[in-house]
Amino acid sequence: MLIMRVLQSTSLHGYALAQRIHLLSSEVLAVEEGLLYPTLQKMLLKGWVTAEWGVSETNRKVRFYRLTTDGRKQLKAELSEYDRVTQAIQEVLRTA
Amino acid sequence: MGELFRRIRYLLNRHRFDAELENDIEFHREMAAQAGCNNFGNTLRIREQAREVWGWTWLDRLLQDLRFGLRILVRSPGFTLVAILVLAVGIGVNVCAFSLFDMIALKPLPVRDPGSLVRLERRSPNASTDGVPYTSLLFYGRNAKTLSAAIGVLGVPPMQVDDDLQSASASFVTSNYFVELGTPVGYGRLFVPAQDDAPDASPSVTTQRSSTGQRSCLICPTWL
Repeated sequence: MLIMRVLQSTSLHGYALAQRIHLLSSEVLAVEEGLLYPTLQKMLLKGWVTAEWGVSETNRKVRFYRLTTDGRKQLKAELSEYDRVTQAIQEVLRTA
Repeated sequence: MGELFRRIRYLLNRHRFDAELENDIEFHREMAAQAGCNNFGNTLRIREQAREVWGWTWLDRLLQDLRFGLRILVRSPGFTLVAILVLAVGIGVNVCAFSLFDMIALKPLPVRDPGSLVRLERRSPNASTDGVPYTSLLFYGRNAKTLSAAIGVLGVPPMQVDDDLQSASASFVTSNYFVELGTPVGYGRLFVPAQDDAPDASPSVTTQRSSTGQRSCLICPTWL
């Protein structure tokens, strides 16, 4: 979900994606490569992202991942689900 | 549906996809090394995990097992040869037996509509016969409502035809034999009721040679 949210605004390559999540979460969250790439492959399989060739900052050919329309729909669904669950948890923590 | 297409596309372009992923991971590794964190983890393991996502690992494992089995067989040729021979004999015998059975028992009669043929039989409490008097046959043919036609066949002793070593089997038949049955025939013309039933028609014969080479003759005599 976080990967898709970051890709919503811009297309990035794998390393930049991991870095961005790490920075945006104030270095609390770190996406391991062992999780990142299998997840990206799964999203490619489901058609939520596509990969296009581009050139990195260091002038190296690398693939940039971009969110598709299906991906955006999936992101919306997952965000609303996450909100629902978080709210439920908050309720229990607050009132129990 | 789209997912299935993507899976198949992956299967067909396996190498390219794998190479692309390897490139991505290499790049990530370089950037991470530049930034100073060297605990990348096992590259091969990551690639394997990524490959498992596409769902074709069962195929890979199957091919691996087949290749392994083949290697083992090649290493012991004697055993392989015997096994193949035994299988060949077993399968061959079964195929032969079944085709023989098929030829003899299961093939339908070579007539136009075998399901509609019936044989008339006369019964008494003690006996039955499928001989029917000629006049009864004519009567049934003309008046029966459930029968479209009545064909009569009378077997007669075999006869010598030309110089055949085997004698030819012969039967007298009514002129509507071929018309009703739709049987194919060898030499001679087919019996035609209009022609062969005429009072001044001469007897005509058709012959047939079976697959075993025996000749059989069908004779349309002048009936009384």
